[in-house]
Amino acid sequence: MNSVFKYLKSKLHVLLFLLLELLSLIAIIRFNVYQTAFYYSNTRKLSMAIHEWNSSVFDYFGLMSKNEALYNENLELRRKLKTNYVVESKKIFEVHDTVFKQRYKYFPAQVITNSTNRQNNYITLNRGTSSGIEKGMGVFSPEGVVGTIVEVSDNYSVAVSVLNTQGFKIVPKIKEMNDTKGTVVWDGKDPNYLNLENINKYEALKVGYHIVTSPYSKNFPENIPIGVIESLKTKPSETFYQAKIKSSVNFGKIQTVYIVIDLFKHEIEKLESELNKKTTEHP
Amino acid sequence: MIFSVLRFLALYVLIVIIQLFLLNNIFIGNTWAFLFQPQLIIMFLLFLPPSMSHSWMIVVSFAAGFLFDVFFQSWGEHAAVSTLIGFVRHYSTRDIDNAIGARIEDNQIWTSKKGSSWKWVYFLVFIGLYHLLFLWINGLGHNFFTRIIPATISSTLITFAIILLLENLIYKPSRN
Repeated sequence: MNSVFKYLKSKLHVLLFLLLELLSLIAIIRFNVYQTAFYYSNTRKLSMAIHEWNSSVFDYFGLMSKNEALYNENLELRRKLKTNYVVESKKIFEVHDTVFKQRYKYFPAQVITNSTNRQNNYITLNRGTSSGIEKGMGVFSPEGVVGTIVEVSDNYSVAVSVLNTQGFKIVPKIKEMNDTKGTVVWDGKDPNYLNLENINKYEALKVGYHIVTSPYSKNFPENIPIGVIESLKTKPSETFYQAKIKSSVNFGKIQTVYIVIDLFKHEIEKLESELNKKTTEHP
Repeated sequence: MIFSVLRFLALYVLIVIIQLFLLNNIFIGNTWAFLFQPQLIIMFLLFLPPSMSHSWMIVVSFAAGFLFDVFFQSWGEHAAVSTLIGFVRHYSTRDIDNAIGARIEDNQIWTSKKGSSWKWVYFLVFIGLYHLLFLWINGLGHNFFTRIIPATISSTLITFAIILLLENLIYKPSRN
């Protein structure tokens, strides 16, 4: 022990030098605007690169489950193929000549960072403005709805997760009733369960009903799974159900997601803003 | 002892005054302004007595740089470079005996004890190193070859000339 102290004493000038240099560097980073910006932008880039590398390593080990998810999704798409159906000839039939116009486009993205243990969780994705990503776009995984994009840089974007007590709400559809009702939110407790709010207790809701995105779920196409009703409670003093939904997404395991690009979004927003302008001018 | 400390304090105040009221107010036009950035604090670091212990040298250099940062709002930039100079300088001057031939009470300085050529190299190397590091931190390494290197060379030469002038004005020459 004595020899350790002796050694440290003999190197006192080096320790002093390192300490004072560290203090100076902290002062440079803390108090100089230009240096602060440089430091934060570079450490952010570095941490993103480390996260990406880390994520790619884990991706490799998660290939099996990812493969299974892709297989299931493929199967689902295959079931919808036209070749699966046979034309049944009838004596009387109608012809609907319909022109299909594409509304949604999807971009695959990798999850770089993801949290589930906070009250307000966010997900960082490896797609940014260079891929055409914008704020407000929906994000879903093969299992279901994941979140909405809130911040975008050149190569990365941050999505507010469904597991966010303040930033995420969605108007769902109850698949079995084919009816758009209530709001899905997270209460900040268990990341496997969501709450379905504002549904009148006199509605014929049942446990096991599937909750999916509705035509009014902004930024998402219809019928993307959100979850399944697991429990329903009513209180005599309250007007609404207390419905618990088992989330269709395991948020701890999401690795690959799709970002939804609504090709009509700007047109709709423009129309709505014109209407708003008119109503404010002539109330 | 107290006398020599007061003399160094007076030198520091003089350096701050020259930097603040003279050097920082010389304007040579927008295009060439980057070439004129002499940092006179290096004179104080170069003149510190070689008999000073290594740890004290580092502490005094840091304090001098930190005060300069306070005066010129460069927050940590001078402190970082001064501390490094204080740390490195010790190795080049530790073999000089300050007691013989350069008595500070007689208003003599020890810098000429190893001859003029040693002094010139000593001054130029540390002035150059100080300016290179300071300008590099200040500009974050941007335009290294087009701005930082030319600014380092010109500012080093200007500072070198000012230090030689001030040394001759303030101190009596001292040789072995």
